[in-house]
Amino acid sequence: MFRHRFLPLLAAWSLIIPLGLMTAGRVAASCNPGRSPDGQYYWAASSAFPSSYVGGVSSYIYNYDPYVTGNGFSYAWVMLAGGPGANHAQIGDYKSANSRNVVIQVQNSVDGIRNIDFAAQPANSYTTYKITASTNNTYDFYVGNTEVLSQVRPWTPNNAEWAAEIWQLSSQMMGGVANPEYLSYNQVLYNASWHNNSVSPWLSTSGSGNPNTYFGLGGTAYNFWTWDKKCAS
Amino acid sequence: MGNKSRLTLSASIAGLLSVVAIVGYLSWSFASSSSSDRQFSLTVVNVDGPPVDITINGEVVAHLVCHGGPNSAMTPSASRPLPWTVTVTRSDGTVLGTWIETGNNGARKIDIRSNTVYEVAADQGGGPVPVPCAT
Repeated sequence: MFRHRFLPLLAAWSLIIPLGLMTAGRVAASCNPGRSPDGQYYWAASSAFPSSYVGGVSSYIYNYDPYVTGNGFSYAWVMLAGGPGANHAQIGDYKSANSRNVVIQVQNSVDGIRNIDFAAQPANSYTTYKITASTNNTYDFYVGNTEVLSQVRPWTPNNAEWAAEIWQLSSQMMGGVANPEYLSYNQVLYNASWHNNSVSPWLSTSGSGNPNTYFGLGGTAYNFWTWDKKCAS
Repeated sequence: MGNKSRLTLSASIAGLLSVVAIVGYLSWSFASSSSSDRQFSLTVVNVDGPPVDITINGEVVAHLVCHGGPNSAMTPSASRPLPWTVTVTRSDGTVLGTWIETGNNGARKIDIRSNTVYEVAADQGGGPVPVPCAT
């Protein structure tokens, strides 16, 4: 009797569990834009130089799970930058072909470039990503209200940036037509207080193509959104 | 065939199907994670730097300007085996950087940012948004 009652149930579960495993971790928003890799970067970004010294940057960013293949990536982030070369401190929601993480990237001419990974925030949620810099060049990185890293780096920031970025045109820019990627409440810290960003965003690329062909951009400096035109949501 | 036998048979088929599904899923997962980024390739991106020549083992293989066309990933071949000594040089002869590529670190990328050049894993962020091209 026991086997008669439970064997069909067991049989059903033996099919359901693998099917569940196959769909686990997939998010409906991910979409293959159907483009070939081109070895170039693309940005939907704003960049502000409000003062000779910038002490912080923050944004309330939509955590999206885009399509990425090969060695590409898709990344929505805030950054402090400045000094000679490409000195920067950066934090945001990152996706490569193999993983999704919160990624901090720090780079300067003395120490080189370094990536530090943390567990991803849930897809389709919002998180405030923030960096503050003190006058002794200590950079503090926040996910929500939690400080996740503090680093001392030998350069001084004079630039705040907010961006969604891809490497390789085969990667999906975060966001779809009906479900854009939001970078909201964009603020920059200078003269001892937080200010709303006032520099309108734009699309740019390291290559020769026109990024407007592939990506959309809306909103204002304080609250902008972008999307991959090949993706519905 | 009795009810008991039919139930045993259906449970066996279901079990077999689930094993096939799990094996298929695991194979798919491993195939997905063994993507090309584990294999060595090198892409050089002139984001906002000056015009440069890229040499591999002393041979000029590319001339790159910022906002140039698509960049193809370079891979080893019979005529150009690893290791590579890769050099980025300005048109006035100034060497901006030299790296030895052994192929042991997966796909790599050299980013030219103004007059600073650095070599990183291919899937690392590109740094600040571009500024006007350096001369």
